[in-house]
Amino acid sequence: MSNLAIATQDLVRTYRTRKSAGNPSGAPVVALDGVTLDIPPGEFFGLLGPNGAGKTTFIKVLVTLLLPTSGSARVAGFDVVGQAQQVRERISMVSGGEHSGYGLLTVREQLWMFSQFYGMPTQTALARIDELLRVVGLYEERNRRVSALSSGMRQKMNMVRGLLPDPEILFLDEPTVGLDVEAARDVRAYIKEWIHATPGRTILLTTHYMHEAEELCDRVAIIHKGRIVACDTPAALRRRTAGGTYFVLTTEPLDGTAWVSQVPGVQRADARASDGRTELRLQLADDGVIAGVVKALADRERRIFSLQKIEPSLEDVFVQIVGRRLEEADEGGRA
Amino acid sequence: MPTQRASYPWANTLQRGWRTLRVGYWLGWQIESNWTDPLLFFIYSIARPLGGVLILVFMYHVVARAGGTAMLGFFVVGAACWPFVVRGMMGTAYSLITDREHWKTLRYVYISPISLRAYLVGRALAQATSAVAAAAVTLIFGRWVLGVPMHLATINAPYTAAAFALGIASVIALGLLVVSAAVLISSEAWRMPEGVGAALYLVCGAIFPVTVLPPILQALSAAIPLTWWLEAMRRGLLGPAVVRSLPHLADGQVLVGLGLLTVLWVTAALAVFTLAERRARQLGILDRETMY
Ligand SMILES: Nc1ncnc2c1ncn2[C@@H]1O[C@H](COP(=O)(O)OP(=O)(O)O)[C@@H](O)[C@H]1O
Ligand SMILES: [Mg+2]
Repeated sequence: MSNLAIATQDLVRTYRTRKSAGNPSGAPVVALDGVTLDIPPGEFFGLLGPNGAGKTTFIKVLVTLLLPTSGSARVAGFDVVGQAQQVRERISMVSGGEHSGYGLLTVREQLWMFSQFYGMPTQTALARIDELLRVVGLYEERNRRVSALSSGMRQKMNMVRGLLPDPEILFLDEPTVGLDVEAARDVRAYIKEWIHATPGRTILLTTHYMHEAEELCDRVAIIHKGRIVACDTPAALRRRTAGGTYFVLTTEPLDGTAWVSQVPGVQRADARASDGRTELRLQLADDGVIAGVVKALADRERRIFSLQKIEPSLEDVFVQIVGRRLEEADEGGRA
Repeated sequence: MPTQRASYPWANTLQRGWRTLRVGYWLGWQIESNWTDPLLFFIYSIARPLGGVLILVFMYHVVARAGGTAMLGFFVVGAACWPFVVRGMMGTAYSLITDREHWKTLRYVYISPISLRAYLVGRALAQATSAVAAAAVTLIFGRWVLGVPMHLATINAPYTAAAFALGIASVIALGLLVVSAAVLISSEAWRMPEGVGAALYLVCGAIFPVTVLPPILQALSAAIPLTWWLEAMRRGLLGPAVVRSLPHLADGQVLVGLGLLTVLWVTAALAVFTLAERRARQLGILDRETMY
């Protein structure tokens, strides 16, 4: 038996589908296409990928909701197919973007109920529930009905549900999706706090937010069309872009940016328009190339508002590996 | 935050199942007794069963010549027992479907270290409990308003209690079978239990003795424990003064037959449910949402 927290070997999962407009052949969808990953205990591991990449499917297989089509997966050393009960005793899961909860129970009742599923004595459970509710700032709402909570509060309640059994391995499937900036920041803060306060615990987080993966994770795998296309620490992934330098430049609105890529030495240019400005994100062969870009802008009589050299981000790594920006890479599938 | 892993002493599987069942019962009862509106409570627990009885009284007067008070008792006990079937069987299926599609909790319940069966049995028992009021109202009305001959002398309490327990067990077995189908059928799954309930109502001797059915349906009804349960309940409560669905059998034989069928159906239901659960995990539909 391995002592890895999570170990998968050639994991494949396909979905049977009906024929539809988007899928005229009715061919099976390959959601996971041979995923092999080893995650040691104590690691905060991120799975980063666009919508439809297979992140949720991966988590569902690991938490015993879904059987793999082929390949194997072990969680806490136990096989997810043959030893589901042992796996379940050691894990919990929180998913974002859903309104899960028995609306007619109070927050405390709902959490107590789940504590019972994990065999916690009631007194211990209630003390822990109150403690966790205080941490996430939901203590005042403890006797309110779940149906009366805002989506941010519900998500915090579900974080408490996930942390309550003190799992060895916590699965977080896009836990901040659909939350406002503040609530998302709170949720990230609790996650960080929890893993620091409880060493040895493993977290598998999926996200399609680069900055979330970068901020939280010890190691990140980039998943694309059901395959792991890169897996390393954020810093090491960023180093993969070595060779280029990166600039962000804001100018007066540009119509069409294809010409930017024609400037000698420009390896890649992405433009984003906002507030009557255009933000150009440039990957250049070396620092000197920027002079040519500035000159080309001057030739077109466009004022430059700001120019900044930046460190390459995971976004740049993603672009380099997948060939597209993350939000362009959405696979049109269900989130 | 706590830094120590709390170690909860893991009891054996049986104890875990028992606890799960209790929590399932607790939750089911919270949902069932969530009467924010007393009027709603009155309608569901008192008015609806009474309405059912009144329809029966009407029917009784139409067919009275056929059976007299022996037929009246047949109606009333059937009407008192049927809510347990409706709630216990359909309620089990609804519990699972609403967990999956309305509360969106099924996936979290499912991946916790419980026995899903025990959880659903708990939910089913809560549903069955909620049928007690309707049953009591029907029996009281039948006894004191309609004059059904049900007396201390006619009631065989141990026999009735045994029959009742077996009946609830077989109702839950039926519930698990319906749940198994509901897990797998997604679209309109929540309508299915009603159809099954209506079919059983006709075949199992709820309102008329199965002796009036064509032979094929009689054979079918003899294979379903509900037929035996209703028969045993009538014999237990009314003694010999009631129309018989299984006229050739003695009281003891009816109870034994009910026991055997219950064991058979419970075993089958557990096996089918295990298969359905595995198939659902294969298809990835344990947390599917239809248009509930
Ligand atoms: N139940 C399902 N039936 C059919 N296809 C599915 C189902 N669930 C997911 N898929 C497909 O599998 C692929 C991966 O989906 P998913 O794992 O949800 O990706 P992600 O979580 O990364 O957005 C997508 O193409 C999606 O459309
Ligand atoms: Mg997803």
